[in-house]
Amino acid sequence: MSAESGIAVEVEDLSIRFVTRERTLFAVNGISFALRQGEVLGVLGESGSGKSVTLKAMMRLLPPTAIVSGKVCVGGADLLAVPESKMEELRGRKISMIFQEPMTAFDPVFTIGEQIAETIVRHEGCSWRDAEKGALELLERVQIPSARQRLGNYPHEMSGGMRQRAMIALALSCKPSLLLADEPTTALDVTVQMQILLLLRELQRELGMAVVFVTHDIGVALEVSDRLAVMYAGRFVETGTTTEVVRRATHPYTKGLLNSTLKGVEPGERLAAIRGAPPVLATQPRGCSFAPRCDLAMPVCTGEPTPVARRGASHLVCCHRSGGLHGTGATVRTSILQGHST
Amino acid sequence: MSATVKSALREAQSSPFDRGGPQQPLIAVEGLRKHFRLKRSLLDREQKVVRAVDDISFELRKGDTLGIVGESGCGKSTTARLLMHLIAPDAGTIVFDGDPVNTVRGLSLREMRRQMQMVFQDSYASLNPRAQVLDIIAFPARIHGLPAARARERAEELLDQVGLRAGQFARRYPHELSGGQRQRVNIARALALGPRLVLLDEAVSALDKSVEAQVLNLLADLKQQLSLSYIFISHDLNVVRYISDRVLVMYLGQIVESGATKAIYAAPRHPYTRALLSAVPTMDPERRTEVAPLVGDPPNPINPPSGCRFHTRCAFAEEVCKRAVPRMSVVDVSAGHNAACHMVDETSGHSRRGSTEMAAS
Repeated sequence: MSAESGIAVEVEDLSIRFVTRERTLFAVNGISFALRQGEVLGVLGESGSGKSVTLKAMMRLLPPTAIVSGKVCVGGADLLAVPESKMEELRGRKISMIFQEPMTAFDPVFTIGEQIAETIVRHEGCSWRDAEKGALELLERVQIPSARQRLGNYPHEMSGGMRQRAMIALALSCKPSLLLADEPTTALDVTVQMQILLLLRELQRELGMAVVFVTHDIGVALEVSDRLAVMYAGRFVETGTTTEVVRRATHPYTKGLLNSTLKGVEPGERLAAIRGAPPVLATQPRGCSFAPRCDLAMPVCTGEPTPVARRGASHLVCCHRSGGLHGTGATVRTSILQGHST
Repeated sequence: MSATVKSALREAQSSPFDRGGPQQPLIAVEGLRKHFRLKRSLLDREQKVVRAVDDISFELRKGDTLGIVGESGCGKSTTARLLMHLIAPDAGTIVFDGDPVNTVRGLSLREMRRQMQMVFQDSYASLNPRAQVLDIIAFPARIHGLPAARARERAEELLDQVGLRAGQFARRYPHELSGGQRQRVNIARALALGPRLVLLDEAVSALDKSVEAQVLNLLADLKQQLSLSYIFISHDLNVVRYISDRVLVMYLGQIVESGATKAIYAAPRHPYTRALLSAVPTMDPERRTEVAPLVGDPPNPINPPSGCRFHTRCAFAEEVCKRAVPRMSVVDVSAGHNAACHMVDETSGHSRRGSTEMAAS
């Protein structure tokens, strides 16, 4: 029971800056969330919103130019504080990641089977023979046809969809409790994309994993997520259950994104486009980062920190227009947690 | 607006280049083909041929937008490049407003390209990184003989037309622009010679959703102001539904279904079109997709399957599908709706021929 209702990951006030000699980029500006075992959080955002960087920070894959602050707690350990040797142990076993382009996740000079078996040997400490058996089971589990032959394939010998399946097998080889998915279906054709989404959903249920699924595609997010977080300029602007966010979208940015999907828009009808372009994050935003593009912006929007309003049990919106009876800054984080655990 | 008013308007707005009149298709393509032969290695028994575009025919009416959809490797981008003669077709004729293209009596490539321009997906790769925006847009006009000063004036007008203030953007380099702004520059350059047809090859696919909507609005405005026609190539079925009057669905180098957008999206008849449309992710979190509409990846276009090329992935495939190439059969005359499937063809011998029901799907 405790494993079922247990918290798989708790992220607290995560901020990421990239500092070079010329400038500082404020990529992520204080995001917090918690995820239960078996829950899928979809993080929806456009390019530059900080969604992929968040995942990389959680895996500790960012270069030294990145300054990361906050906490990422998985199984009692703060991933941002543990030594690298410990982190190597946790990667794969506790937390694992899949990427948009599987070619970059595989080594081109080893076969798929060797790479999966190597991971198993390293983390489980079993014999190579057992590991190979495990690799075969994994390929069958991700529904790769004629899995035995496929073990001997090099990454370039597989099609895009098959490679993506193989990468999922590699990521799941040590049964992590948390899977980070960084746009894993974006480079695929629609028919293949749907196959991979269904596979991920099935595996996630079977293994009871928590998943953070990052995507720019609203449809994809709706297919996989239990909860949604809409990200803009390094902040969550709206969070809630998938249904809450879609049916009762409140933040002007969320509304704009939903309008831009073209579903249900009559051909020839004028699109309600969001004007302008996403901001360059050269300064730490004081007020709402979306204000320059927002049709409902008021003077207070750019000047003062954005308050958080509660719209439902777990539905939270960061917008001056939504009232903001729930305070600012610090309370956002706790209320997300509370909303989540009630 | 009724169809007659629309066509009358179209006639009134038509440019002096409009030679064929409103009934003449702007572009008519017949039997277009491009096969790429791969290098044969010592061990290959047979020659490998990529049948990128294999005998396709279609027409584009004046003022229409024709959408071309399909998965990667289906030949949609090759088709656009063949139309522009960026690569030479192996066979087939292209007739532009009554004039055959690239024949002795017909339209020369240079004249054709004045009237037909293209916008590519990668907005950065298609701009010269060392040239300023204004010079990039003025370039085509200068090549076609306009004096430099006049070409620049025209470029400034074009910048305004695509929603970029000339004073602010004229002197910038491509790397100083956002993706959406760069694509606007590409559109402005495509319009520099006053074309009548613009080929948009995944032109909004790389843009963020919020910016994509802006560019789609811009394309709609320009189409009306300049009485343009578009060929819109995309893998995004929602965008194609929104922007197109007619749609071609391609699979492994061939057209499998074509017709009015409404007809195709409301009642697709080819099993591939059905699968493609039902693979679009849901917009309703309570009605998620439960069954994948197709298994497997699209086959390699090298040496494609015999008969109907879709038979290897089709739930309704029978003997006839492996053996015989299906012919384009009429589904609905008024919608110009055709499909190349043995189930639509009354004479094919397929057990489900003529039935509109596809129980399993």
